[in-house]
Amino acid sequence: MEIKSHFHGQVAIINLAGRFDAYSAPQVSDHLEKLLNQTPPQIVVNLEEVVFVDSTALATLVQAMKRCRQLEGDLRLAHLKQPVRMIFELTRLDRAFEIFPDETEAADAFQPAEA
Amino acid sequence: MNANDRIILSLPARHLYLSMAGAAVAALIKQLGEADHVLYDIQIALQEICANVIDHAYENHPAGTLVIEIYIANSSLVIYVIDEGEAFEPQMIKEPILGELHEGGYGLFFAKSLMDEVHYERRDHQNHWTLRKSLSLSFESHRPFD
Repeated sequence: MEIKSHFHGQVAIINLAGRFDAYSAPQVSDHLEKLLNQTPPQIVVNLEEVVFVDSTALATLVQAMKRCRQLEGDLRLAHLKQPVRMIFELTRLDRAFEIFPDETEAADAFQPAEA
Repeated sequence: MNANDRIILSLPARHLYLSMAGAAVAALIKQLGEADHVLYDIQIALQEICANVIDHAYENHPAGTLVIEIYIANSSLVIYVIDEGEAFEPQMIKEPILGELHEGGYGLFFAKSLMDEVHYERRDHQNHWTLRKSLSLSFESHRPFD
């Protein structure tokens, strides 16, 4: 799995590409962990190039999102393609995460109230 | 694909190799002319069962092996996953409450939700998982493996 990140203002944007599964999830988790040091952590995970997610990937995102919210930040998702979106819909986690069509919109949504 | 054709994969029980199992099933399903969502459903279900075997059945036996058998019967794709790890204990599995923020427990839920049948049996000191998914009839007219 390829992991790239950059900042849009105060918001960390992570772009993932490839399979996000039980094998690659620890890498993503380590990357997210480093970003939790921001106060408050404001993270967007762009899943546009992700071709496969499993339950471990989902658990990784849930865990990071809970940590962000405990620290009064958030982890938001952007650009879910249909197979990936289906997993979130099946578990109804599409209602728990804030999901945006693209990463810029997701990052900008942090700014007015929380920057 | 002939009714008697059976594809058998034997993999070290490590997460590293699960993408190979998924790729093999995906290649087969694609050649049978199935829709992408069917292909994806099967890949996820297989991934989840195999990951459960690695994480739980082989938790204390990291050098274990996973055997995956794939064949077609009665317009369905049937996948057996066989391991020699610890027995699965269904009573230990709690169904996730949908919409709540669980950090685990979705694996078997995905497999059951995405396949038409998921069956577990402990036999001869082995765990035997059976996954079945109905396929469209289109592949019967193509019969690409005949």
